[in-house]
This record gives sequence, C-alpha cells and structure tokens, in this order.
Amino acid sequence: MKLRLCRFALTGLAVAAVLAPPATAQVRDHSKIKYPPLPDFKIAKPEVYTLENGMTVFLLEDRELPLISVQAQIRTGSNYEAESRTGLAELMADVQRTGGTARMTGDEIDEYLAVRAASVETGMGGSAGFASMNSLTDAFDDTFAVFADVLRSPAFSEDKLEVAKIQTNAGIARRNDSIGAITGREFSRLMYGTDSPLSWMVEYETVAAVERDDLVEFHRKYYHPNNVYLGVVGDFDSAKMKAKILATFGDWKAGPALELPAVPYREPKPGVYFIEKSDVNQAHVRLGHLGIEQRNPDYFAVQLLNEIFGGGFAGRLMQVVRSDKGLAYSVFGGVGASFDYPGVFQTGLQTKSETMAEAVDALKAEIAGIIDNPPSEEELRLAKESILNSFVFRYDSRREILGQQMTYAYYGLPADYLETYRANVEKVTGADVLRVAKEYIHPDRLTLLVVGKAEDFDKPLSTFGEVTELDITIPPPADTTPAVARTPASLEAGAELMAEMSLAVAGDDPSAIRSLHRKGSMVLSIGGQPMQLGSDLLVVFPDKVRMDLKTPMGEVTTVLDGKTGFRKAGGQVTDLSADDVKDASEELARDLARIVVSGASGVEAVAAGEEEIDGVAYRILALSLGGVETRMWVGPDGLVLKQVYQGKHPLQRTPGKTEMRYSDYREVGGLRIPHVQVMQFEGQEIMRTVLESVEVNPEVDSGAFAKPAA
Amino acid sequence: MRRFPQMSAASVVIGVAVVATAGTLRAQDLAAFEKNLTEHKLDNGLTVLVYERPTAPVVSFFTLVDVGGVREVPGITGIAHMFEHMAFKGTTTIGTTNYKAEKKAMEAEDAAFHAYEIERNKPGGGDPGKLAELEKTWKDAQEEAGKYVVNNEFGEIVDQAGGVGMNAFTGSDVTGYMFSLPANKVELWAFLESERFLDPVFREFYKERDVVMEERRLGENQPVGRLIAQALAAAFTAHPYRLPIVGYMSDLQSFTRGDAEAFYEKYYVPSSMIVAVVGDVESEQVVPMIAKYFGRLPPGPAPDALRTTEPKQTVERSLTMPDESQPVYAEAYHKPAATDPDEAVYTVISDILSAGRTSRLYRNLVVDKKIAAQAFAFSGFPGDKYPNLYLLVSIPAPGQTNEANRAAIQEQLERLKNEAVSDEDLARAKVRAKAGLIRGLQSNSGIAEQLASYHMLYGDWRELFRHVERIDKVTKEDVIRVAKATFVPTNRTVAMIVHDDGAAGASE
Repeated sequence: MKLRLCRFALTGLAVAAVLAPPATAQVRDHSKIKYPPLPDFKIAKPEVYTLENGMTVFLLEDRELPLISVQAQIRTGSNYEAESRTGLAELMADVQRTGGTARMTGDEIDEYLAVRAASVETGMGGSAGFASMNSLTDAFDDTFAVFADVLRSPAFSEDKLEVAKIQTNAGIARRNDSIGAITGREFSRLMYGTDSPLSWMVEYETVAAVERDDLVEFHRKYYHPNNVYLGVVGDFDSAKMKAKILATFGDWKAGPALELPAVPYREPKPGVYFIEKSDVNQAHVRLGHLGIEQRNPDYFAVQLLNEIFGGGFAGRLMQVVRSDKGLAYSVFGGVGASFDYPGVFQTGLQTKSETMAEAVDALKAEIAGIIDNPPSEEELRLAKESILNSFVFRYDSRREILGQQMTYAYYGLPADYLETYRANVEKVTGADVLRVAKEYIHPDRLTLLVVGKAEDFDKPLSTFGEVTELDITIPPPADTTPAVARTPASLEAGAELMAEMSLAVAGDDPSAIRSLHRKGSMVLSIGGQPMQLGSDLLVVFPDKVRMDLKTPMGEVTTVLDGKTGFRKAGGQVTDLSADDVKDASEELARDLARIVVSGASGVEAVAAGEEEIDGVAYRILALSLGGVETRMWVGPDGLVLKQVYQGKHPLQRTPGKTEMRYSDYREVGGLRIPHVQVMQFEGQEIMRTVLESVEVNPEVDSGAFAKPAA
Repeated sequence: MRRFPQMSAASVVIGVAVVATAGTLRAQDLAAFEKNLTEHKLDNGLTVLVYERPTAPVVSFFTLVDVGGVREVPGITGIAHMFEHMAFKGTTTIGTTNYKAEKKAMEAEDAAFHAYEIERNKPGGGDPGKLAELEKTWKDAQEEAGKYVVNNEFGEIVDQAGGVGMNAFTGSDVTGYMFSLPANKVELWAFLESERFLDPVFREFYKERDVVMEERRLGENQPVGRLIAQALAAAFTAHPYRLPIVGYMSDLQSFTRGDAEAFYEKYYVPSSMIVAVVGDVESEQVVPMIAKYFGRLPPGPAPDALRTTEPKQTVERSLTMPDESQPVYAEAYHKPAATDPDEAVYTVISDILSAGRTSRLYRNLVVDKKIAAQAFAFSGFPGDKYPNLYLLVSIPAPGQTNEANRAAIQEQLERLKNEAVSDEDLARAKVRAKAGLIRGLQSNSGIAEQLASYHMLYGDWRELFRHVERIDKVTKEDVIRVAKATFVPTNRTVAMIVHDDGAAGASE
C-alpha cells in the first residue's frame, strides 16, 4: 500500500498563524458559499476476462487495507424452485456453507475460518445465488481454498440440513409476530398473485418435503463455472491473482447451457385488503400496483419522478405526510423496477390506529397529486441536483464499483452504465417526468392493504371500498398418521368397539353423568426443570369447562362456556380469542369422559387395526368428533391405554404429534376414571397429572363459569 | 487443486501464528493514523479531529455530543431524542419565511399549550368542555405558527448539494449527527453544522412530538422491544439507564419547548462536543475553516457529573411477559463501565459466547441441543459510559421452552466460571478483534464515528487502537475471574415472553 506523502502534523506556531481571530464575517446565507470544483476522479475499472470453462472474472486492486473480498454470483435463484419444495433453494444455500465439503466438516470450516478472522458465506436470492469470502491478506490462500470447495463441492451433511430445517421452521412460526414483516410480505403477494413463485411461501410441509438429494440435485443443476461471475477486490497483485484463480478453478468443468424460464406473475386486482393484528397500536398501510422493468428506457425519468415524489427530505411524501400532518414517523413511495419482471409502485407508512383513515387519505391525495399537480420546473431542478450532486457516492469505494460492474454484467446492462447514467438523468425534462407519472402511476388502479387492529381505526376500512380480509394463519404441518379405510365393515367394527369402550368406562347409562370434578397435581416437565402445579378441573357436559391451576406465579383460571370463554391470571381477566376457544373446545372433545358421556352422537368411529404393546393386544379406534380426529388404543378390558392425535404444545401452541397415556383406572360413581394421565408431545413427556379426588355429578356453583366483573 | 492440511490442533495454532506474526497491521496502525490525523481544540472547548483519506472525492462528517437518555429525569424522558429531531428544523434564517413573526406565533403556541396542560392536569382530567376549547386554541396556534415554516429546508440544502447518509441517533450516553458531502462542499457542512447548534429554532415542536410518539409506538409494537424495556426497568432501580430513550408516553405528551431549550442550553456546550471530518480534505485548509465557523459557539459551563449510581443488586429479579408472539428468553447481569480495565475481558467473553458459528451459544443451543433458533450475548447495554449490563438473549426454536434455554445458558456461564478457556478460544478472540479494527476502517463515515466515539469515551481517539492491544493481553485467569464476579444469581435479572393468545400487547 502506498502511504500518503508524509504530512507533518501542524506545529503550534503554524496552528496559531492560521487560527488568527476571524477577520471576515462568516457567511450567514448558504447560497453565498463559493465552492471549488470537484476534483477530477476517474472511476476505477475492474479487469474482466473469461476462463476457458466459461467463468467470468472481475479483478479490482485496492491496496489501502490488508483485506481481500471475493464475491461470486451464480445464475439460479429461489424463483426457479418447485412450489412443493418452496424454501429448497435457500436451504441449499444455507447447508452449502454449514454442511461442510469433501475435505472438512462444517464445524471444522467454522473453526478454521474463525482462527483466521475470515469468513465464507453463501446465500440465495430470487434471481441469483451468492457465495462470498473476506479475509486479511495473509489468510487469503487458506480462505480461498475453503471458498472454492464450498462453491464447487459442498457435502450437504444430513445433520446440518436438520438444523437448517429447524431454523426455517422457527422462522415460519414467527412470521406473523411482526406487523412490519406481515405488511411487506402480504403486499408483495397481492402485487404478483399468490400463484407466482414470487409469492410462494415456505411452509412446514414444503420444508419437510426437502431431502438431501434435492439439495445435491439443485447444486448439480446450476453450479457450473459457465454460470458463475467471480469478483475479487482488495490487497492483491492482479497477475498473481489470475494465476491463483486459474489454479483453483481452471479444472472445473463447464455444464450444459441453461435457459431459465420467465417468472410468471399475475396483474393485481385493485381493491381493499385487510389483515387483523390485535396486539399493536399502529396501522401499517400500503398502496400501489405494479411498476416497471429495469431495462425500460423510461427508467431514468422514473428515478427523477421517484426523487420528487418520495425522495429524501424534499420529496412530496415526506413534506406532507410527516411534517404537515405529523401522521407518521416513516413514509416512503416510488415506482420500483426489477429485472425480468416488473417492480412494484408502492407507497407506505405506519401511523397510530386512530389515524389510519386520515393517513390513507393523505397518501391517496399525494398519489393523485403527482399527476394533477405535476412537478414544477423547480422541483425537477432540485431533484436533478440531488441525484447528480450525490453521484460521486455511487463509486466512492472499490468494493461498491466491483459489485456494480458484476450486477450490470449479470443482468445484461452495458458496462458503461454508470458513466452514461449521469448523462441520461441530465437529459430528462419536465415533460418526460409528467409523461412517466401518467404512464406508470394509476390512482384509479390502486390496491390498498391495511394491517392492524380494526376496532381502533378512526373510520372503518370499508370507507375505502369493499374489504377482503386475508387469512394469514400459518398452516400446521401435515398430519402424517396414515388415513384409515372407511368401509362398511370397518365402520361396523368401529361402532361395536366404541360401544364396548363406552360400557367399560361409563357403564350402561352414560347420560346419567352430567358433570365431573377432578382434582389433582400436575407436573409440567420442560427442559429438565419440572414444575409442580395444583390442578382443579370441573366439566359440565357437554361444553362447559373450568380449569383452575395453582402455579408458582399465582392462580390461573381458564373457563370455556360453550362458544366463549375467559382467562383470569394475575388479577387480570381477558377474553379467550377465537383461536383459544377453538383449541379449548378441541381439547374438551378429546377428553375421555366426554367422549363417552356426550360424544356418542355425532361420532364417527372406524376400526383401524390392532397393535401389540407389552404383550397385550390393543384394538385401534379412529374417531372423528365433529372435525377433531383422534385415535384410541382399546385394551381387552375395553379401557383406553392411550390416545394419539395432532395437537398443540400446551405452552407454545405450536402443532405436533401428541400422545395421552392413561393408567391407574379406578371406579368412581359409575365411571372408570384413569387417575394417572401422561402427555407426550413430539415424543417427549410434557405433562403428568395424578388425580387425588374425583367427584361424579357434584353440586355445581351457578357462578362457576361466570366471567368476573372487570 | 491445492490440498490443505488435515484439521488438527497444530494447524489451528499454526493458523493463528500466521496471522499473529504477520499481524503488525500494515498501514492502518496507530503510527500511520497519527501521520494523517490532526487533533485540535478550539478556544471554546470544541474538539476537532480531521483525518485525511483521499480514496475518493468525498468527505464524511460526524458530530458527537456528550448527552443522551442518561441525563434525563422523569418528567422530561425522551427530551434528548426530541432535541435530535429538533436539530433538523433549522435556525433563525433556515427553515422560516419570517422569523420575527414566527417567534411571536411560537410564544402563543407555548402559552396555549400551557393553559391546556393546566386544565388537563386538574383532578379528574379537567372540564371536558373547557379542555376541548383550550385544545382547539392550541391547535389553531400551531397552525398559525406553521404558516411561517419552510419544511425541511435544512435537509433539502444538504440533499441538493449531493449529501448522502444524513442521519442522527440518540443513545443512552451520546447523541450523534452525520452526513457526507462531495469533497468540494466542506464549507457547506461547516456552515450548516455550526449554525444548527449555534442558533437552533425549535419550530414545529408539538407536531414533531407526535412523530416521536409514532416512533415510540413503532418500537412498542415489537415484542422483543417491549421485553427489553421491561428488563431494563427491572435491572436498574435508580440509575437513569432505566429510562427509555424514546421517553414515557406521559412525558412525551407533557414536556414543553421550554424544557427542550433548557436541556439544549445545559448540555450542548462546545466542551461536550466533538466534530470528526474524514475524507478527501487537507487539514491545513479545513481546520481554520472549522475554527471560523464553529468558533462562534459560545463556551458554556461543563454540565455537572451524573450523581446517581446504581446500588449493587443483591437479589435475583425475574419478570414474565405474556404476549401473542413466540417465546423469548433474556438474562442481564451488571458489569462495570467501558473505561474499566476489565472491559477487554468482557469483549473476549462475548467473542467466545456469541461471535459466529464457533461461539458457545450457537454451537450449544442452536446446533447441538436445537432448542434455540438464535442465541447471542452482548456487552454494554444500554450504554457503556456508566456501569451497564451484559445481556444474553435466546429465541427458542418451535416447541422449545424458555426454561430449557435458561438451563442451557446457565450451563455455558458455569463453564466460563469453572473451566479455563482453551488457547484456541482466546487466540481466536484476539485475532478477531484485530481484524475487526481493520474492517472498521474501510469507510470515511465508519472512521469518523469511531474516532469521535473513542475520543468521547476515553478522552483519546488513540484508544481505538489501544483497546485492541488490551484485548491481546487478556489471560485465561482473567476470564474466570470476571465470569465468577459477574454471572451470579444475585447479579441477574431474568426477562421472558411466554406465548399467550389473549395477551394485551402494546399499550402505548
């Protein structure tokens, strides 16, 4: 690295001389400041060449710091995966790095890089795959070798695929936690249509469908040198680097030429869309429609339009929505551009729920305004100045320049795009801006999406048109229990088995049982730290339940009374949400006593085979209780050993395979009640209840299910 | 294709040795920096740091002020952040069509708000009819004052000149203002930046308060944000680090323009300020220019030192927050200020626990036990000028519990206390600190921010380099000693989110 020509630090004398008390008055008006011309600066140009195997290489030296950065861009993308395996491309990129190579496991690579303070990373976007590395100069050779291996021959070890799947599933479980994430995602899906690859969502099912072979196949299909653009910037000598690249990648065989299909999408249907999110005090708003493609010659005029409309501090959106009306902290808008399919024209903001309608009106007014009240010459001049004056920042670092050149090459833009950008912007006239505003912004074709808490809105959303509410419930993982054949024979056998079980559990007159009170202690076993609780469960058949739990943090009471319910904890009473009521009703439907006492009507019972457990033959009964599926293992004595179903984790409410095992049956008031009940979730014991007292048909207090006054 | 050696302890050590010996940082060590850096203090106490870096014809500017949320008290929480917003509103000449008239209108605005507040604060919330009337008077006064406002003129001037990266932040300890300009426009920065601290006008005060309230709501709507706010208030009982930087909603609704002006007078004194200029400049030209413009700031008395220190925590604290979101688990432990000699040890601990895929939290919780989707630790929360918190956070994987994550975190902390870290762990942390320093010097704005920050905290920008040397000297015994002193139950605050579909969520 060339050191700057030595500058001597100012000596005391020199400083005193230049810092004599100011003789002239300071400028009080910024427009009076005289600026020297900007120093002449040539934009560095990377050297570009192609290896025999088709890999395109970009080299740009930068000797300032002892660092070297490598970036590879691969012609592939998540836009090209199959819908049934949405998430495959990203999983592939993830495990490409974590899953090791032929020579080193993923953990060994982590260790190897960590001691060198180097990094190798991989990633996947919609229309490109990425691999990169960064290291100090002295660690380059070592790091580059690992980088090449990861790029060319990843091992995709099974155990790392499992970790990646868990992390992906965690992301799915949390994808509706943040209102901002919901808004961005769902608006994009409205823009392109839910059947476009741009809108497909990673689900538990699509993740479960991904196998190691899929990863291998994806990599084999796309990762060939003739699909790779490789860029290197930093502290190296070009001649030596060329030799290094040849030695490392020269023997990589080219693959077949690939023709990537066009990405399908569907024009959005204008309208008003709503998603309820009740734990927020803001509404998130988006308004828009599709935008333009990057290669559209109007692109430059559109950049000026965007600067005038939504750019920086002077943009119309910022002026009105934030400053004049104090409605929002952040507001944005512009006509977006993408490669190979249109971008999105969108405007958006967040505002308190009580000003949702006001904010929508304000945004709509600005969108109409950019056409009805077209940009003035002054606005155009200021926008141009903004863009042109800040232009130097587009090439203020070599890393940035390299990235740009690779992007232009990848997407087929001319290499001098940066140089001609300036001239193209300068050429744009007021008439151009007005024309593109009219052509690309359509106030009458807007899609409106609002996410928030409807009951707090200043006006109902229907004020803006007929509302379509979107359901963003995360689909639970598929139930992997094999279906049972419903034949006249299996139905008849099922009904018989059901009758036998009912007789064994409740005797010949189950309808005589109106209520059941069960008291006991419960042990919640989670993460090796068991928690002891007192439990008190009162059921008045068919649909009233009251559960009082004595926990170390106080008493928690949950009541279900038909179709509504409440929870009382820490002195606070909250209504059960619709989801909670559904969950509680399903739990009740599976209660053994209830099945027998109230479940007889409306139950479809199918005999589902046999299984021997510990030398005892059990008959399996598959029950469908008004939409709730469960299976019971019935012993020779007619008593139920266990129940297995797709349930929810009692705390996390995430879906999973649930097993309830019953033992220590005792007769109480005509019922045979299991006094020990053990719940397993996804193979792990979660809950063990031991009953201490059971009362059949107890006296029930009339207020037992009443919601306490606020 | 080149072969490389099998992984072994030897090759790990060799790898470290390769980097360590080659390791006297090439051009970016303290000596090289001294050559191109000019440090100067103006008569009024303002510190100026100029670093010449002619890689491209651009310059980045960073102004750092020694004030943040930590200097607030209940009643005016959020005011430091509020002033940060006000600093973009202009001056007596920028942002107004007629300051004389505007000043009168603002006085009327303040008087109207004052009358409204008096009524609102009456027991029972005041007479609704009278309140509505007073509110209308206040809103009308705002509209009247707003007539003189030229919106966002300050920002526009910078934009049009080609400025980028205009931003500001308010932390617990300090407030920072930054932007970059093409290299021929340094005088514009000198003018604007000195003007806005010399002669700020707090226009559109009440409107901007509304914007800040929206900002608060934005944060409130993030479940983890809500949890951390609660954790902070539990961990600090007395020290102002407990106060939310964005402010309590009731304070935001009540504090006045006069409060903000008083706060600014007290804390925005040149002796509490540092300006850093990095890029294609020549110090012989730029320093006199800075002196000319910034020399106008009147010197003021240095603010008194903060009086309250947090009493030692002697009992474990724990809070549980029901929320519609998935579970989150967090633990916080008290630790000394960043200027404490053991700060380097905490940096090493963070590297071992939390830096990247080889870190203990990631390996253990995410990969081996698969109980977390993410798990990380960091030092210096919410600030680091005063004794602060070491924070560990875990996001449980689906179906996994806070309790399991707690147990796993405890296991890792016990290891640190009872088992010496390996040579490799220690070496890795040290190499990463050095590499981190180099990587932080890749941009003008990054350099400007770092120089100013280290100079503010330690009184000497050279600590940017020296702190890496201190990290280099940390021993295994240091790690055990500091871990034993810090990760104890009596020093711990636990905070967790438990999933609850009926939970209340964001309040205000």
